Amino acid sequence: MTALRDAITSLREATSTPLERNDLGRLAQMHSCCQNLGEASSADNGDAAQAIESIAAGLAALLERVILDEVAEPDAALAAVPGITALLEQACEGKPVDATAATSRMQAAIDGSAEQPAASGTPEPAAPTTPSPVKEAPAATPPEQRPSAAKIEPYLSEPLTIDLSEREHLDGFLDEAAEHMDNIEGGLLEVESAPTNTDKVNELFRPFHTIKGIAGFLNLRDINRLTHEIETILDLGRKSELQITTAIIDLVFSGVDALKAQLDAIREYLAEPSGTVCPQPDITEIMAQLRCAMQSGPAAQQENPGSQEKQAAQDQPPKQTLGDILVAQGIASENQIEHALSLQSTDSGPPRKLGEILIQQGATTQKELDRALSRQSTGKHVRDQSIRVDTQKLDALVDAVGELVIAQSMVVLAEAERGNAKLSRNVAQVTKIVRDVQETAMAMRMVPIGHTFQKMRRLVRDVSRKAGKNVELTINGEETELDKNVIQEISDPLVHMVRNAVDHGVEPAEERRAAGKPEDGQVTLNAYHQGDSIVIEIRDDGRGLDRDKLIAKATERGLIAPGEQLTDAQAYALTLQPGFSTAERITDISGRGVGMDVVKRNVEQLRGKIEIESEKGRGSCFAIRLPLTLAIIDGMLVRIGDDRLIIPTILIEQSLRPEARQITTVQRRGAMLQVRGELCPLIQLGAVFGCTEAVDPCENLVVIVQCEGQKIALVVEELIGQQQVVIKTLGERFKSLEGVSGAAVLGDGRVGLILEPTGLVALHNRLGSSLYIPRVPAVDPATSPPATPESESGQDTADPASPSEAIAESEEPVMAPV
Amino acid sequence: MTETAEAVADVRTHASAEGGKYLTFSLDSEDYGVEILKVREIIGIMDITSMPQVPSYVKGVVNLRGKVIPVIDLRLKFGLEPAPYTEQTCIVVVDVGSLVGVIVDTVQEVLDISESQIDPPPPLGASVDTSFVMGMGKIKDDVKILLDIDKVLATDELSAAIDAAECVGDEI
Repeated sequence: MTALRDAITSLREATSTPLERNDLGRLAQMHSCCQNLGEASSADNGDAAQAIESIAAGLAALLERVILDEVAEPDAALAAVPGITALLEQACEGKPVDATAATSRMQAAIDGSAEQPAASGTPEPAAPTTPSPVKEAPAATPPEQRPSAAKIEPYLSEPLTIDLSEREHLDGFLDEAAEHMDNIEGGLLEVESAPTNTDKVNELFRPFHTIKGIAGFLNLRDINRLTHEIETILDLGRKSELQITTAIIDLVFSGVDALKAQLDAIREYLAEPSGTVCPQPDITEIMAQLRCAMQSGPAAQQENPGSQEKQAAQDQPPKQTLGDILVAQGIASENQIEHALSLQSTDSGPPRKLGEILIQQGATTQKELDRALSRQSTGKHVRDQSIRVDTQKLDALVDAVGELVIAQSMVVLAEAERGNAKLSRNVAQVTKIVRDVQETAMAMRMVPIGHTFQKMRRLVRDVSRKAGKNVELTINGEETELDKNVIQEISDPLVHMVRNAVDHGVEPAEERRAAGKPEDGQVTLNAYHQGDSIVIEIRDDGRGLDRDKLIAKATERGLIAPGEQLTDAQAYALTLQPGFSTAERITDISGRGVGMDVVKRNVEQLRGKIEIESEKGRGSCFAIRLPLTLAIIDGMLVRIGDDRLIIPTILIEQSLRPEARQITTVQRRGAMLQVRGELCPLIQLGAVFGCTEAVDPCENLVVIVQCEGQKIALVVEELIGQQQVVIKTLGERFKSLEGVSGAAVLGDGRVGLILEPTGLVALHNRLGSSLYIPRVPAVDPATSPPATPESESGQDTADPASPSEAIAESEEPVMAPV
Repeated sequence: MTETAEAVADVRTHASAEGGKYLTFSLDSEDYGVEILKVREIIGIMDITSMPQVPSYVKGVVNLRGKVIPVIDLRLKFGLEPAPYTEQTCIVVVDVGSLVGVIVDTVQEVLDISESQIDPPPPLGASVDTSFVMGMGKIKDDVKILLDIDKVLATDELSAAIDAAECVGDEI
């Protein structure tokens, strides 16, 4: 009796929340509960026990049919389950229940719907159904006995139309599925050697499930159904409701082969799409076998050796006859083939080939025939043209190629000194090859951004629905390729920005109507190459950024001083500050603590930058500008003292030799350079990096660099030139170093450090610029003596320095030039 | 807890002062040795790119066939007088998890030092840091100071030094 109690309790728990037909796990669990219940009660002999047994058996049958997806209205059928569970409970408590009525109710649900598929021609549960004539089953017969194999409805395949715009997904699916297929076959063999090991069966379950899910998503119905059936068999197997025999394994193998044939058919179709319908191998037979095995165990399957043979023939495409292929591809009808075959055998003239007859009959063309023949002869389908490679190997290759490029440039230098004509020719040849190798290596890491963009469709759909807006997403430049690492890193920031565009950018419909805009908002994703960088734009036609509001908010937060004059770009860049949100309300879509500042940081880590354009009332455009690859950057090589430094070209605005009147000092400490009406802090690069004394900017050069939306002016001694450099990390030891993002090996084999401006500014601010400011002749330069670094240092330290400055000075040896 | 850690460290110190092959080099007037298994290669002095914000003994980075590795001056690290680099000056590249170049005055030879020739570091008073001395190798009349190079080049020490430099900066 305790077994009975336990079973009832777990059954009640399982039905405590509304059942869903997709929740196979729970359904299966309930199914086994019912069986336990049946077994427990059969030990008893009383009336109540019999009632329980028959109701439980009925419920088990009902659940089984729902699990097998053979009930037209599974939701209706499941709705009856809680009632029946309650009935069972009552029965267990010893109350008299009407078992006959209950079983007939369940039988009605099953039988009534069982006819449905035949009527509508499809067993698809989601298909719309008309009220079906409920067949009154003999109530006294509890449906304990499993339906015989003969009662299994045949699976009806539907023509598969493939949307070529989903090609990319399909290609991805085919790749993935092929990989799973290999795993599955290995797994099946393991299961075969240890059929009782449910862990192994479980492992097998997963790849099938994945394939089923994606196939469903891509509307590949046959594959979806086929994997579903196999999955169900495995499920029964792992719950030990079906003994996994060699016959079952064989059957699953056949199923796998049929799956492969399906996948190959799609691959072939994608390689050379013709017509709107993708020809698919027939899976009726294998489906029937799978369902049969599921319901009546392997016995029925063995009783039917004929079908298995037939299956075997189908599993091996190479054995297909030309006629079969033509029919499968929908080129010729079966009648035409038969007719041609009969002609071939009765023809009195010289023996002709089937193909010739068919062409003569106009049933097919030479081209189609050739394709079918080539397929018949090789038995192989169009093979996948890509392989998967460990990205580490790829990185190693790119690194090695980087070394090659450096070594090559050294050879070129050496060769120029020698001046041997033959050598020059050979070196030129090698140079060309090295460039090719470099390009190929780089191209290997490049993947189109389309896949990432496509993910945004779903996001826009969800977010716009949640926000109660109609937003249309337009995607351009899907084919734009960029480094795989960059794509991985950019995905999250992109999600955030698209979400922002929909949630904050696009106004609600009423507001749009009032503004005279179409009610549907537009968000556009665009990607394109521009020079050596790639630009990803997120554009919306919403309300745009409100400059005044931004400034007000920034002033309120103390991010800027009241009354500070900002350019548009600076004002918009405020949105990238931490803790800055102009949205008046925080919705559950936005405001989850991942701010634009995180986006900005991510983008900067990729050595990119964000540019914002906006027009009030017309919309905004956030553009992420990224380098093409993470491994190589374009840098400007500058000299400070004896050291050379690389400034990423992407950051450089301009370089100039300033005039004294452009430089303003504040309290003789902070120096500012005025460029085109903008004031930029003037930073003595050499002094901050500790490799030289401060130098006179007017005697040297100043490079204007973008940094956090503002510009900074860096004093350098010489611009050596622009060059591509392979980036090397400095490793753990220097991870806390500021102002330097990495290093690169220069053409002469020496190392150059790569500048990172944000850290540089922090360093500059901390160290204080006062010690390094050259004395700028504030009066007429002609009358004052020429400034030299030495005299300035002296002058500055002679100034009444604050105590903190004294500390800075004492710490100077740390920073001393080495 | 810390006691245990110290005990473990102690055991390690003595256990690692084993006999074996040592690369010996000179620094000022002193002779040192490092386990040969730690030494990757020896290169002549080359152009070193200096780094900002690092302690003075970190001379910068060099290009070792495409790898960028840090280089430290052992004289400065041990608080000895800096000396100009000469033809004799070498960079010993050691593998302490990652590659690091160590600048020494001259590289001498590879010596086989048996365990019996090794004495534990003698107490030298608080003024001398002996934590990275594994032992003293006695070869005839010479004494080679056997270094625990991993400890000398411990990563956290360098990061700590950089952080310290930054903290001082913060106060300004």
